Formats: sequence, C-alpha cells, structure tokens
Amino acid sequence: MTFAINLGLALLIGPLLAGIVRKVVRARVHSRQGPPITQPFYDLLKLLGKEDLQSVPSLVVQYAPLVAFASVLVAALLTPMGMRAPLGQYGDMIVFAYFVTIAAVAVVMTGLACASPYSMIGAGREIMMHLVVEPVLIICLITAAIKAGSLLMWDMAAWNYLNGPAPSMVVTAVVLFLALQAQVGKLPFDIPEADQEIMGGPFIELSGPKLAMFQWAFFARQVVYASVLAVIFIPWGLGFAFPWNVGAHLLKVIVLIVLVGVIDVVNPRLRIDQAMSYFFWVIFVAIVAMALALIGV
Amino acid sequence: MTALAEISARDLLVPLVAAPLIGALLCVFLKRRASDYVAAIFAVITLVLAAGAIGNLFTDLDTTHRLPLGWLANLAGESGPAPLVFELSIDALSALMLFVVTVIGFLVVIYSSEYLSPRNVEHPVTNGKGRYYAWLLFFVGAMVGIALAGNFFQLFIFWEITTLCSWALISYYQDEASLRAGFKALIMTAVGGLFFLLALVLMYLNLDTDPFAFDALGRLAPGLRSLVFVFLLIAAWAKAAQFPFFTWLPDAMAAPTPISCYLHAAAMVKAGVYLIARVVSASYGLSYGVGLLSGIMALATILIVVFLFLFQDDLKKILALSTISHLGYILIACALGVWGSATAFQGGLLHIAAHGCGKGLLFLSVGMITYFTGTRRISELSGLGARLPIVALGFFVGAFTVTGVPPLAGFWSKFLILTGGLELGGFGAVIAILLLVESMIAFGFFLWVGQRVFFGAPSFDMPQGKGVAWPMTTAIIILAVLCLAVTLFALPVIQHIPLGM
Amino acid sequence: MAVIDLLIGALILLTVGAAVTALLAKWRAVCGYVAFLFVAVASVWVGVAAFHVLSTGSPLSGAPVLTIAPLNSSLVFTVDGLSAVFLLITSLVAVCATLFSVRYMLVYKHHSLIRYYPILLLFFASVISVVSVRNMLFFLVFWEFMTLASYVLVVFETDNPEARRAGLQYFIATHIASGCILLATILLYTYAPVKSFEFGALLEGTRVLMTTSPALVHLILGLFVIGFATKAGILPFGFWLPQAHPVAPSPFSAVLSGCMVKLGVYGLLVVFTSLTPLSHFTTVWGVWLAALGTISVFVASLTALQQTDSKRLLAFSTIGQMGYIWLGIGTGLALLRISPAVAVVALMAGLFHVVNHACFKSLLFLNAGAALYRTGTRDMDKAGGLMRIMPVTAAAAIVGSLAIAGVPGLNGFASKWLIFTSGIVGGLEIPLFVFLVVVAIFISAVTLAYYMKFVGILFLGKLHVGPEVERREVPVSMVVPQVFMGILCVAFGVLPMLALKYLYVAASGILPPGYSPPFASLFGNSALAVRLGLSGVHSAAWGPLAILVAFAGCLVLGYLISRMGGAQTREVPMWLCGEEHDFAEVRYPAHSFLLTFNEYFAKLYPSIPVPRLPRPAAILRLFDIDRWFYSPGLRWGERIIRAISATHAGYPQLYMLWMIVGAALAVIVLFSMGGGL
Repeated sequence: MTFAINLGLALLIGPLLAGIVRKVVRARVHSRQGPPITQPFYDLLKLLGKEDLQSVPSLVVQYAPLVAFASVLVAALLTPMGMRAPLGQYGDMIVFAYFVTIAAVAVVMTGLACASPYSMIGAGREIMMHLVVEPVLIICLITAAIKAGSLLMWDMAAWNYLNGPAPSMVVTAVVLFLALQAQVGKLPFDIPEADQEIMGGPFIELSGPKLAMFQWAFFARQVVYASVLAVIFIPWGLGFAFPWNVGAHLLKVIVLIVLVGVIDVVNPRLRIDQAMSYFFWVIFVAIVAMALALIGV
Repeated sequence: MTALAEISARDLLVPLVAAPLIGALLCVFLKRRASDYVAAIFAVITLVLAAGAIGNLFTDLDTTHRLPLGWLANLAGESGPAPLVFELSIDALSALMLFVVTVIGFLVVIYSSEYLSPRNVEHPVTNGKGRYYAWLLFFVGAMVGIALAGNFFQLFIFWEITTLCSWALISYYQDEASLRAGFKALIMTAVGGLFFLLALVLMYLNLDTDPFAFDALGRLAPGLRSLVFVFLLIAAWAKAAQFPFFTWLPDAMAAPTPISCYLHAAAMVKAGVYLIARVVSASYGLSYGVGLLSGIMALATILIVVFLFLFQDDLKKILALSTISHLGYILIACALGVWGSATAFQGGLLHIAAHGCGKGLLFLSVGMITYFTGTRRISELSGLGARLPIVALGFFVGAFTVTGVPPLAGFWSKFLILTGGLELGGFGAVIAILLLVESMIAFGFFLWVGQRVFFGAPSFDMPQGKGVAWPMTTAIIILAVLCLAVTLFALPVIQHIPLGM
Repeated sequence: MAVIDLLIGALILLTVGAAVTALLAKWRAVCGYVAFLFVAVASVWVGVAAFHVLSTGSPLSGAPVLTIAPLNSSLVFTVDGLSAVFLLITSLVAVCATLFSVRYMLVYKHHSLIRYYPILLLFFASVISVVSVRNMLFFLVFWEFMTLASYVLVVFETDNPEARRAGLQYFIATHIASGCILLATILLYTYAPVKSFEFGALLEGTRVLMTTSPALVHLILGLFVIGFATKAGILPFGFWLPQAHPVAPSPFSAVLSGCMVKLGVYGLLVVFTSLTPLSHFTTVWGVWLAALGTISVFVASLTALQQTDSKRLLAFSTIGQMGYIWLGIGTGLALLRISPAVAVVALMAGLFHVVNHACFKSLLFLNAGAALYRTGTRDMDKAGGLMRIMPVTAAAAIVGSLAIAGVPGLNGFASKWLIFTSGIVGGLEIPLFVFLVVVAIFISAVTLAYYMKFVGILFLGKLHVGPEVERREVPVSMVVPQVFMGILCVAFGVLPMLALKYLYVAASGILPPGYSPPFASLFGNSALAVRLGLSGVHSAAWGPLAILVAFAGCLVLGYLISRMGGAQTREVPMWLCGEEHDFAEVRYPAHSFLLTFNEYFAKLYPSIPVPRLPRPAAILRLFDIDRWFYSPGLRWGERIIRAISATHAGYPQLYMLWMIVGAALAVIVLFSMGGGL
C-alpha cells in the first residue's frame, strides 16, 4: 500500500501541484484567469499522443526520458511520505541522493546526445547547477544523519519528531528550502532550460512522449524534494494515525510548493555564474549548520 | 680428472700471474689480427686459471692459500729473520678482486679487437695493436699480481707496474692531449706511490718480524699505526682519484675507451680501494679518527663530483666523474668498516664487483657510440636507441647498476652500505643519508643523459651494416648479464672476508 | 602440489614468457598472442591460489627460494587475504590488458615490440611478487623492479618528447619515493631487536621505537607515506601521474591505473598493519591519510573537469579515485582503536574501491585506447560521436563511466557508499571525517560531470572524425576485454555482498585476531542487501536488487505510459532555430563545456615549469683544483728550476766560482757542526 501512496503522490499530486501553482499563484500575480488546475494532465496526455520527431537516432535520447522518469519514481519510493517509505529498508539517504542525481544525468546525457549547440549549453549548465545544488542536499541530510545517528531517512525524521527541534536542524531546514528552488528547476534558477534564451536547453530536440516523460518526471521530482524537506525537517504530523499522517504530509508539501511558486513568479532568472556564487554561500551556511550538529547543538 | 682435482688454488697462482705477462711479451712482436688472437687466447687462459683458482677456493673460503717465493737477505733486521717480501696468496678478498680483474680484462681484450680498427669513426687505428695488447696484458698481469700479492711489499711492486702501464695506455694515441694526460696520471699516482713507500719504510723500521705482512698495522704502536694508515690512504687517494687528487682521472679519458673501461671498472683505481679494503680487513685497532678522515674525504669527493657532473657535456667525462664518486662509496664503506660495521664493509666489497660490471658496461657502451658516431658530446647525440639497441640496453643497464636500481648488483651493495651506515647511527647515519641523496641525483642525471642520447630523432645515419661489431656487442651482452648475476657470485664470497676489529 | 606452487609456477611462466616473446618480437601479432597465452595461464594459476586463500581464510606460504645471509633475509612467497585481493585484480587486469594489446600494439609500426611484451610480462611478475612477500628487502627489490619495468613501458614511444618528459619525471619521482621507503625500512631494521627484514621483525623494531623515540616513528611513517603516496598518485606527491598515464600505450595505461597505483595502497596497509602495532600512531596517521586522500579527490577531480585530452582526463580521475581509496583506508586506520566495527567497514570500503577502480578504470583506459586506435587522436575536440561506429566500445564506456561516477546498481556506488557511510558514522568520533565526506560526495557529482563530458563528447552525439578514419568497431580481441570488464562492473554492483564476503577475509586478516566484529553483525544476514549495523541498529542500507527491481518496474511503467498515446516517429533535421548552419560550424567543443565552472578552479592545479640550472661558474672554478692549485704549483716549481738552471750557463769561470763558493760553504758548515777541525 505504501508503494501506491508514494507513487500516487509523486505521479498524480506532482502535476496537480503544478496546476495549482499556475492557477493560484502565477495567474493571480499576472492578474489573469489562468488555465484549470488539471491543465498539466491535459498537456501530458496531449504530448503522449503527439508525433515523436527524431533529429538524432540515438539510443540515449530514446531511453534517457524513461531513465529520468524511473529514477525519480525510485527516489519517491525511497522517501518517507508521512510514513515509512516502501523501499526505506533497501536504500538510505546516499542512495536517495544518487537517484535524484541520475535524473539530472539523464537530462545531461540527452543534451549531449542531441549535440545541438543549445542542448549542449543546456547540458553544461545542468551539470554546473547540479554540482552546486547537490552538495546542499547532501550536507543537509548528513546533518540530520549526524543528529539521528542513522543514515536511513525514516530514522532521521523520527528522531526530529521525537527530539526536535534542534538549532542545527532549523538552520538546515532553511538552507534546504533555499536549495529547493533550484532543485525543482524554478526561477530564478531554471538556468539549464531557460526557455527564453536556449529554447529549453537539453530538451530542444525532444517532442511527443519523450518530452512528456521528462515533464512528468519533473512534476514528480517537485513532490520528492518537497517531501524530504517536509518529512525530515518539519516533522509535524508524523505521529498521526494512518490517513492523517499522509494528509498532514500532503499539506506541508502543498504549502512548500506554493511558496516556491511565489518566488518563481516574482523573480527574474540569474546568470549561471551568479547562481553558482549564490550557492557557494548556501553551501557555506549548510556546512556551518553541520558543524553545529557535530558539536551537539 | 683426478689430476685436475688434486690441483690446489696455490698451484695456480704463479701461472695466473705469468699467463698475461707471457701474452704481453708475445704481443710485442705481433701485428693486427695475429695480435688479436694471441691476446684473446692469453686473456682466456688467464680467465680460466682464475676461474680454477676461485673455484678451488670456493670449497673453503675462510682459508688463505699462501705461496712464499723469496726473501731479501739484505733486509734482515738486527734481531728478526729476513722478512718475506715476494709472496703470492689467495683468499676471499683476492678472489673477489681477481674475478673483477680477469673477467673485465678478458672482455676488454675481446672488445678492443674491434674497437681498434680502421672502422672506428672517432679514432681509426691501423697499426700499433701489438703494442696496445702488450701493455694491456701487462696491465692485466699487474692487476692479477695486486690481487694475489701476499704482502704489502709485493703489492707495492705490482702497484707501481700498474702506474706504468696506465701511463703507457693513456698516452696510446700519442697526440698532445693524451701524452699530457698520461704524464699527469703518472706523476700524480707516482707521488701517491711515494707515500706507500714511506709507509713501507715506517713498517720495516718499527717491526721486527714480518714487517710487510697485511696484519702489520695492527702490531704497530697506535699513533704510528694511524700515521701509516694515513700514508696508505694518501697513496690510495691518488690511485683511486679521490679529492684532492681526482683531477688526473677526467683527463685520462684521452685513452682509448676500452682502456678507460679497464682503468675505471677493474684496474688502476680499484687497486687503490683494494689496498684500503685489504688494510681494513687485516688490521686491528684502527682508530676512529682515521676512519673519520677517510670517510669525510670520500664524502667530500662524492659531493663535489655529483655537483661537477651536472655540468658536463662529455659522455666519457661523466663516467669518469661517476667513477670517482663510486670509489668514494667504497672508501666510505671501508671507513664505516673501520668504525665497526661489517655490513657496510661487505657492501663496499660488493660494490667493487658491482661497480666494476656496471661502469665497465657503461664505458663499453659509450665506446661503441664513439666508434659509430665519432662524438661523445651529449648535445650532439640523440635517438641512438633505434640504431644501436644493444648499446642502449648496455647503457641503461649499466646506469641502473651503478645508481642502484634493483635487482641489479649496485642496489645490493648500496643497500648494504646504507644499512651499515644507519646501523652505526650518528655520523654514519648522516653519511648514509647523504649517499642516498647522491644516489638519487646521479640516478636522475643518468636517466636524463640516457634519454637524451638514446631517445628521440636519430642524430646520425648508421654507416655500416649490422653485425660488424660483434666482438663489442658480445662483450656488452656478457657484462649486462653479469650486472645482474654478479651478486650471486659475490655475496657468498664477501661473507667470508673478515673485518679487522 | 601445494597451492602456493601455482603462484611460483606463474612467476616462472611469466619469466619464460618474457624470454619467448623477446625471441618472437619480429612476428608482431604472433608475439602478442603468445604473450596473451602466457599471461592468461599465469593469471588463472595466480587467481586460483588467491581465491583459495580468500575462501579458506588461511594464508599460504612456501619454502625459502633465496637467502641473503648478510641481511638475514630469505625470499619466501606468502599469500594472505590482503595480497590475495591484489593478486586477483592483477590477474584480471593483466589478462584484459594483454588481450587488448595484441591488436592495439600493431599500430606502432616503427617500434620494436621487444620493448613491450617481455617487459609487460616481467612487470606482471614483479607486481605479483611485490604483494606476495613478507620481507621488506624483497618487497623493495620487486617494487623497484616494477617501477623499472613500468618506466620502460611508459617511454615506449621514445620518439615522442612528451613521453620522454613524462617518463623521466615518473621514474625520478618514484625512485626518490622508493628512496624514502628504503630509508624508512632500514631505520626500522636498525632498531629491530632481531636483525631481519621480515615484517614481524620490523614490527618489533617499531614497538621498541615507540617507547624510546616517538618522533622517529613519525618520521619513519612519514617517509613511508610519502613513498607510497607517490606511487599511488596522491597529491601533491603524485604529480607525475597525469603526465605518465596518457603517454603510455593505452593497454599499459590501463595496467598503470588499474593495477600499479593500487600497490601504493597495498604498501600503506602493510606499513600500518604489519609494520606498526595498533597505537595512537595509527590513529594520527589515519587522519592524515584521509586528509591527503580528500585533497587529491578535490584537486584532481576539479582539474579533470578542465581536460580536453581523453587519457589525461582519465589520469586525473585516477588520482581522484585513489583519493577516495585513501579516504576509506585512512578512516579505517584512524578509527581502528576507537570503533573497530566502523574501522573494518571503512577498510573494506577502501579495498572494495580498489577492486572496483581496477575494473572500471582499466575499462575506461581501454575505451579511450579503442577510440585512440580508431581515430588516432586523444584530443576530444577533434573526435566525437564514436557510438555511431563503435557501439560496443561506447556501451562499455557508458557502463564504465556510470560505474566510476557512482551510479547506484554499479560497483562504484557500492564502494563509495561504504566509504561515505563509514566516514559519516566515523565522524561521530572524529568530526573531521564528516567534512571530508562532504567534500568527497560533492566531488562524486563532479566525477559524474567529467565522465558525462568524456562519454558525451567522445561517444555520444553526432559523429565527428576525420575522413581517414575507418568506420567500424575495433577488432574482437579489443572488444572482449572491454565487455568482460563491463560485466564485472555490473556484477559487483548488483551483488556487493559477493565481494564483501571475501574482502572481509582480507580486512580482518590484517587486523589482530579476533579484533574485527563478525561479518553478519556488520553487514546483516541478507545476501542481497547490505544492512550496515555500526552502532547496534541498522544505520544504513543498500539493497541493489530490490532497488533495481523497483527501478526496472518504474522503467516498464514509464515505457507503457510513453507508448500509451501510440505516437508515431519521424526523422527530422536538427533544429537550429530556423537558421541554416553547417554542423561543424555550430559544434560545441570540449573546452567550452563547463567553462563557467572551470573558471572557478582553473588555478587549482598549477603547472610549475622545471627551472633551468644556471651554470655556477664560481663554484666550478673552485672545484677545478688543477687550475688554482696544481698548475700554479707546477709553474712555480718550473720557475724555481729555471732559476737554478740559469746558474749553469756554460761558462767554465762560473762553474769555478760555484765550486769555490760551495767549498767555502762546506767548510763553514763543517766548522759550525763539529766545533773545529
């Protein structure tokens, strides 16, 4: 059943959240009506039926979307969403971090395989962003692991629920929220795709089902990243009885994603070097938080 | 067979010294090919006799086989009997020296048959080969004599003969430079020889019985013992081209390369270190101070020389300078032996053989380079490896042997010396570490030279077809194998060489 | 026949093989196959012996082969768990590299193969010997012989100035390193109560020194570490590696990276477990090793990101991966006294990464070699998109790259996961390790990045090679080793417990008996999932099979979804926003990739030019004794003699005068001496 919950949250709530953000946040800020909140589903269905245009007959382009999709789902299965994760006994935080990395790798590989100058630039940017954002997630999770004495994500959440809040965990939560924006690829950090300048970067040559799979994977990724922040660092509601703990979790995720959406709407895009300088500072703060955890604060 | 088995090492001593001398006499009257064959035959005879003697000794390495030959009645003191002055003997140390002298002597003779030819680009030689072989075999005989000498007096006689031979051979080409170099070598080593003589006189005056025996130093009064040792040391420094007498050796590179090879690898300079090794092995109660003197001087030589050869462009001079520093190694090993380290002393003795093979190989390789190209300037040579693979092999094996890359012989000897030095601690350890540093620098330099000369684009066209120089090639290959195998022979021998304590 | 005889037999076989291949060197292809045959048989023998040790858990030992009496040392071949691990990777890499060489070496038409196969075989023999002696003297002999052989192979392209420079640098650097090891060894020997170079005797020497002069112990350990760090390519001592690895023939680059640099790790483990008693020295130096390793990880990986030469990129990556290994080993050694459970896991993690790195790095060098064989260039700006013509090589390269980058399911992840986990848990005792692990994890993303670059530019994308390049896959004999290594990468990735079971034998074998916790308590009971129990509870988990099954399920799900709409496929030209461009015009070159990121770290790995030695004229004059001492001395002597000879001018009157003066002087002297006539 936990399998169904996690997959359901990732696959269905992901696009729905995107719809909510578009309808409730972006349209409101733009002072317009906006599409219905189910619009992302219509988009996906439409794309799945559209013609698949191939400029490079490459195996990588063929399967990278599927790999991205599958790895995000595995990450979702490793993440506790209000309750123990279905695969929690088979993979800890390091495994989780690597699976979300695989999704990024799939994007990069696609960009490289397409060999269009736009996709190459996009791939390069994707790697660079990943290089500065990934450490934040890792450091935050290690901080939690140090406090909990375990690398299993459920143990960390449980520790924080029972013993929190610790100052280091609070700082870490803030830091992770700062990184969330980039993790889910939103403005001001959507530099790799940057529709207006490099036409979607790595995805420029993709169309039809391939694009759909990537998009769906990214919708699901929002939920996964938000869940990590929500379950480990904001452990409210973990102790509720069955349907309510998942409900509480869902609520936290929605709030987080909406917040991200607000920031997305009101910010312009940064240049890649600006973004990297910014994340060097974020990493620094994260390390300070980890040092706090090490001295027991 | 039984007759052969009954021959003892003792019976072979006289023929052993005589064989090369007879060969030398014959060669005086011969020319060209004939002299090649006669010289080769006598070199082989010497080698076989030496092998017989050494093989015979191998069953019992701890004994000394002595063969007294004559007394000088005039030298009879007031109280004691006339001292034994002419005497041959063989023990483990002699065997080691004999091995080096005869094997390398034999290879040099073989090598020379091709080297001294009109085909030699650097120095085409058409006649005068008989004279050359005569002096060379005479030299071999004298060196065999040094190895087999039973006492200091006997050793001194052969010692001066080698000086004479080296003078003749260094000046062989008879041009301005070689005449000057030969004379310089003669003067400097003869001045050193005077100190040897002085030491002999002092021993004779102060000892009633057996004043020239190898263990005579132990029987002298301590102060006098040190003085005599220092005199012998000065003689050895001059012979072994140590600081401050080392200047004759680079000049002696004017000699034909096989001669340089013999002079450096086996003969002449090795006589100097052999003398000190002999003294250290046989004497009791040498003081710390004389050890210090010999150690510091050798160390100074090594450090000066390693500095000098970084700025040298002449291949043979590099080898000459390297020879000087390696003789320094052996003298340091002797100094450490004086301080009581048997390990280091054995390492030094092993180094006589190891350096003999390695440096011999280097010289023969360089000789072949000059033979084909006519130059020995590093800056003019490159890419020889493609044309002369055997020479490249010889050079690198030789260089790795003398700089001590395992499993070649030089590693074992240096390892023993280092171990001995560090075991002693204090100044010994300092010396050992400095030696290690020197070894590293020399290694880097030789590697650089080797790469410069043998790798890259070829700097010359091979003038002849392949296979012309087989006597030279054979000599190089044999010596290259010896660089690896000599340890197996020498290690059992050096264990039986005592250290006078 | 005893099992150890297999090992000795293999050594003899390799030596004989060297002689045979030397004789056959003229027949280039035949020579290669014969060499492969010898190596294959020898490797199987060695592999059997090593596997025997790992499965029974008891070391093998033979009779003395050679004795050096003055140094109380005899050559005995011994295989324990640790050496067995290294023997196994040696035989694996040896077989693959030699098979790959057969066709690859035919490229070198102007170089005699007598400098390749015989030396290669001797090299393998020396590697096998290095790890199977328990005597420091012979260890050194084989160690340096190995260096010698590898030098010859590094400078195989003697006409290439780059190779010459690299070879010179390599041999001098490692020779000095060996000098350090030698010095340290002899120092221990001199303090050993029993004068011998056996590991056991030297261990007693350290024990004595630890009480009498701890500073000297630190010096000795420091010398050892410098020595082995140089060989292992750990920065700043491994500066030779990025030069030497690219210039060697590719199969030998694979051997260098896959096998030889690992021996630095072996040496290190020997020093800290067999030559040093468990003490605070182990802890202190463990921390140092981990720190050194992390510096290498950091600097080398970021520098690798900036490379455009494929093999140089791999060489920097080797330094980086060796850094991971040192991090693991260092963590293990540092925690050995504090928390044996974590320490054993960390040591095993380091060893596991040794094994894994041997698999994927030799694979990657073979990939780069195959690309070089086909295209003739190592410059990634000049060749790309090779998957079109070399699909199998490209597939193997992708597996290798993903494995080294640590993608879950492949072997690199399993060992890195162990290194990170043990580092984080170890950080609870020594906080420094957490920071090191953070750096290492960050860098594993960098590793991913530069391997994306390697694979992406060299193999993926549109074909970009010169017209002279033959458009087909490399020969079978070059494909097979790559596929084999690729399969190993997957196998160890999916079933890490398979390897861990044997590595546990190796790791616990080098520790004091009974010191390491039982296997099941550390790694759990499941054969399919690693469940680390480091502080009583399962504190970390990695079950590759379950995760991979889930991943496969998700893949199927994704596939079904993507086919749901029944979309049709159509070929179209690349879209360049409507503009017409030739592909070469808009090709994105390797050096621009990650330009922004590289700008931050461009200065990280400075290249220091070799200073030219000025000719110190004054000092040279000082040592020219002839000039300032003997020659002036002679001149003075000559002048005096000339002055005397001036008195003999040839006039009889003058001689008469001298006679009178002389007689007068004589009279005066006699008077003054005798006191009257």
